[in-house]
Amino acid sequence: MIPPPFAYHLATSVEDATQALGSGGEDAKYLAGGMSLIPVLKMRLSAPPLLVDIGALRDLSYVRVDGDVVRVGALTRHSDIMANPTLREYLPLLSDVAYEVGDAQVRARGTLGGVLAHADSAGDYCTVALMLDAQIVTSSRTIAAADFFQGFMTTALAPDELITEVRFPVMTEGHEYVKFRRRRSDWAIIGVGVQRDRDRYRIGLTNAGAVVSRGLAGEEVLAAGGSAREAARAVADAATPLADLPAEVEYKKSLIETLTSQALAKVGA
Amino acid sequence: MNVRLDDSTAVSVSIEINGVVRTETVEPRMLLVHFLRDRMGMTGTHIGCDTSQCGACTVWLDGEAIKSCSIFAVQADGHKVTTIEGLASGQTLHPMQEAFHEEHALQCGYCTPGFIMSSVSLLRHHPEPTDEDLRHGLEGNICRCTGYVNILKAVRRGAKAIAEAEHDSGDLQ
Repeated sequence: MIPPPFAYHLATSVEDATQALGSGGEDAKYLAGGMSLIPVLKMRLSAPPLLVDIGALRDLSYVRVDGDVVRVGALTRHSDIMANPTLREYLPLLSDVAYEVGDAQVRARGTLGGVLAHADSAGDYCTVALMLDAQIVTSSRTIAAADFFQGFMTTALAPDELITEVRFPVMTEGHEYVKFRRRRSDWAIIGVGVQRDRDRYRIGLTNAGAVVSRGLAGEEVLAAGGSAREAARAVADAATPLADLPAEVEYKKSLIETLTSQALAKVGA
Repeated sequence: MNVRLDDSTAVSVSIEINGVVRTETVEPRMLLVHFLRDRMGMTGTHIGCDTSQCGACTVWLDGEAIKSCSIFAVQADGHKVTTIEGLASGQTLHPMQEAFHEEHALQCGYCTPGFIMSSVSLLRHHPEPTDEDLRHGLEGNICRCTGYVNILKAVRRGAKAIAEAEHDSGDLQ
């Protein structure tokens, strides 16, 4: 498979990248790890006239704890997130999720910012960002995760806007990420994330609709003193998964209920 | 800012492949696997699925296993690439190649170069791998013949051989 032709620019800084992208028209794209974009180009689902390669901006790869915030650079790779001792201590849910992303070769290339910008509702980090109310820092502003994901693979990003950092809250209590798929390197048919946050629980859903979603109905049931099983039922009832090749809607709703129930049980809800 | 938007513009890349710097002019859209096979004549790196799933095209970029069908040659400019051709020393097989041979870890052999590149890369992170390390680390390589049992045996054997070789060389120093 051979991608369509494109012009190529290797960015030397964030400013250089945004300026270069602006000169390429609205279809120009940033190239980070390329683990989503390159397959898309090979299948010719997209034909950007210009790719701005941000892969050399290695100063956008870092993990820092700042008070009660964990700041992760947008170009931090899955393999680095998975192995980072700071994340393991301050946000172990993210470490666990990275362990389940793609496969070893994909984890060696793919980046946190790339997953969020691609905004596939099956992108595991999108779930974590949404359920933890992460802040997405870009070349021009900061966007709350709840405002960032706007539709099917659609974000609040302007065409030339570049994600530089993601700010997560420090979360060290009970957590679980259950990713259901037939082969281990596959996308989730359904994924469920649960994070205990002091006196409440946060629930996120992967691939449970056109846009990444949160199990707010279940969070409310638990806050009102309901059982984990009742919460799981509420999450499934409120979810609007789409039928796709691996699974139909009813099957996915059943999975959402079962996996949410299992994840909540593991964190002791 | 002056970005040239002519998408047919070829660019010059210099990539160190198995220890030798190779400079070529390529279209930006050329995938690394095509660069290796069609420009370098290194056909040990295979194209299997072409959709980033099977791992037959696995090579090392700066020592880490990656899928060469999912990276452009321009992204490897200035970096080091190691292919299956770079593993053996002359006529002496790499211990992992030897282990795949000894354990009959292949039938048709199409996936084998990718598996070997992934396996050696995995061992750098996990010199004494658990079964979970092996299954997690090799999930990006697909074999349709063996059922994986002999592959896992081979990687365990290779891990032992590499550890012993490093131990021996340590003794000599």
